[in-house]
Amino acid sequence: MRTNLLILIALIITFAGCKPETLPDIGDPLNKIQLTEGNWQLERVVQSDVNAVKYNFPYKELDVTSVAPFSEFKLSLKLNDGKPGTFTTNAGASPKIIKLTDGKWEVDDLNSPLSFNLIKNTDTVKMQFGSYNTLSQGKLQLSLIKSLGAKNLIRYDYYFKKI
Amino acid sequence: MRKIFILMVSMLGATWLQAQTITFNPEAFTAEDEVIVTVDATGTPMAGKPEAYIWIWANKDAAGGQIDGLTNGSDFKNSKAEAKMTNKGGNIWEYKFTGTVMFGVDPGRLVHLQLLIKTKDGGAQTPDSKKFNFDPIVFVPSPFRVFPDKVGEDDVVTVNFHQALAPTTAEQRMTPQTVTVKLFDKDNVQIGDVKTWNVKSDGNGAFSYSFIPSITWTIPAGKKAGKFSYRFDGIGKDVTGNTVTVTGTTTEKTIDALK
Repeated sequence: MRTNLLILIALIITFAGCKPETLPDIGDPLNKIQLTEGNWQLERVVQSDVNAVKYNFPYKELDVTSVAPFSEFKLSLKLNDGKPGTFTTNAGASPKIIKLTDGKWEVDDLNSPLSFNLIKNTDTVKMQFGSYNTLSQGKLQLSLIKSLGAKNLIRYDYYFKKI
Repeated sequence: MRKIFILMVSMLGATWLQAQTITFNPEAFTAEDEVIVTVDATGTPMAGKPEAYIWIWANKDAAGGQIDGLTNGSDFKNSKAEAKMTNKGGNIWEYKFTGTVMFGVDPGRLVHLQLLIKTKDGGAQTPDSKKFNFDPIVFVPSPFRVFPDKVGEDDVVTVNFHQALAPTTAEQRMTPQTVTVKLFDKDNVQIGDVKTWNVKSDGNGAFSYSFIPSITWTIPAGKKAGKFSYRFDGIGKDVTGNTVTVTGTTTEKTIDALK
């Protein structure tokens, strides 16, 4: 009987200690498009063998940044009324990882973009967005897949820093 | 002399008559990929035939022996309905299949395939095709390796030498120093000069060098790179202890039109 009384008192004290808490606001969602605007310089290039990755071969990817002066490649992205606008590229001595020198850029979804296309007249360079998490730290990751017919064979991950 | 000439012309004509064009989509495929094979039977005994059936086999002369396609059935003179091809106009015939399903074996067992097309009763047929390789799905160590496995002329190409697997004792014992690379166009004509570079040691007896063909060489307008050859050379000791140059094995790699 005494034990039950002690348990009851403990429960009353516990529940009495509860009080409603207000959760802090998680803030506005990350505006990926706004963060993508700006001048970017390539700082790292990683090449992957799509087949080797798929079948877990021992040699899947290679950092090829030092093979050529890739870090001279610059990409400038402008917005037009808060939406993707125009772009320019300046390869310098770098391999032209993007053949187009200017045009417009487009994404498939303004809130959660996955595809990232650079367009000049009838030419389109189709790329993909990498991680969003690094955008706010001034890092942009774009990926380019190279294919033979319908078969994807090589993936390039381009890591840019904001300048 | 005249008879010999006529015979030669007849043989050349027969060869031309047997010509068939076979393409795959995708061009590169593993045994697990669905692939569409297209056969142009123009100029073959199958030209103008109202129906065509595929007859397909894998691994002829390979370890483990030949594997016949499951759609072949057991009688060449009575093709199965499953082997019937789709006509795409004129003498163009198409067939869709997946290697593992077609041959009923694990993907790792399939090395290459060959095919012909025929009438249902086998009264007319095209000749055996050449061997078309499946892309590997299991990694097979080799002394000379290119990364990535498929490359285009604008891609970063890395040639690798795994010394422990070298085909000759001299190459296994040498100290690798250089790699010599030649670039060729689609017509097998060498582009530019021969390049020789010092190799990088990657540890564990592995050596490599990376380059981009279209930047290393000036590819003439209207030409495309078709392949390159590479050879790892080094220095070693002869039986008297003198330093000698060791010339390695030359290996070739196709350059594809990647987009």
